[in-house]
Amino acid sequence: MNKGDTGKWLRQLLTPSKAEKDVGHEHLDDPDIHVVLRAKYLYIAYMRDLCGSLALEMGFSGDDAFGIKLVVDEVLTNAFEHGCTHPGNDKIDVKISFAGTGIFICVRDPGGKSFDYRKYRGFEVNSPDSIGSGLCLVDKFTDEWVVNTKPGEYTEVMAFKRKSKKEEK
Amino acid sequence: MTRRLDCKFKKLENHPLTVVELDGQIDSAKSIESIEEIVTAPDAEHVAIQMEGVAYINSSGCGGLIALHHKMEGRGFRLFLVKPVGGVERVIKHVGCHKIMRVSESLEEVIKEVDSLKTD
Repeated sequence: MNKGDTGKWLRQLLTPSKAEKDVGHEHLDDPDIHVVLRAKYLYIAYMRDLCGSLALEMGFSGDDAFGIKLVVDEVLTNAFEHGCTHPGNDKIDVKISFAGTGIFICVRDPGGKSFDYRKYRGFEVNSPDSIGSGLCLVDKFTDEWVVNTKPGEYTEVMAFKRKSKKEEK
Repeated sequence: MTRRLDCKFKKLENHPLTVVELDGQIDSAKSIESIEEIVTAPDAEHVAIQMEGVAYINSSGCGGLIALHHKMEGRGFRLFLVKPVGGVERVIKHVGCHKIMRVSESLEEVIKEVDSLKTD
């Protein structure tokens, strides 16, 4: 499955009408891990380290596990910084699913702020002082990612990282 | 469970370079506060941060290094990153740190470069 196919698959997962027909939907509907975190940096650090360690246990390569840890970190940090107006009280919903081919990561914050996430696809940072470096890293370290926003209710980032073939058993 | 950042440093004898050796994770600008104290000390000049022991860095950590670079640049000195490896090297490149500060393969390379600055 190439990156484009994965993207199509993931976007289908985000479309309720199509999701029921998709095999992958069950991974998100019934995730391996479902955690609700209060918005605190400390919890973000533990969650990202847990996901990185777990990825290694699940047979991902060290490079893949690094990327998974980074993506969870960046997405959770964005949820905390841009989607939570009451740090320590607002809650961030995290779902992780390990499929045979890779890992699904889904992070939802209560911000409900729309933004054009597509401009970060293939985004190259020209100046390291510019904003968006976190999403640039999400783009570089995943095979596909999308943002789903329900204005005023939630912002949800979903990402998929395929297991490197070398490590597949 | 979360790994902290350990920091050792030494000022080279008769040389304007301070070497900072890091071990752990750079996951926020706050995590490098201890380095900031070292590199902004009155007797500190150029600084080389040895990155080989850094197992993890994120965009906030890169932001901290960039802020440090700007502070040093403002004082007329340089900040060098030495031998970032694996995912850390990839993050540094993707975020663009290498576009504004020197990323070197070895400490020897940095020493030579600082020496050449002295003779300029």
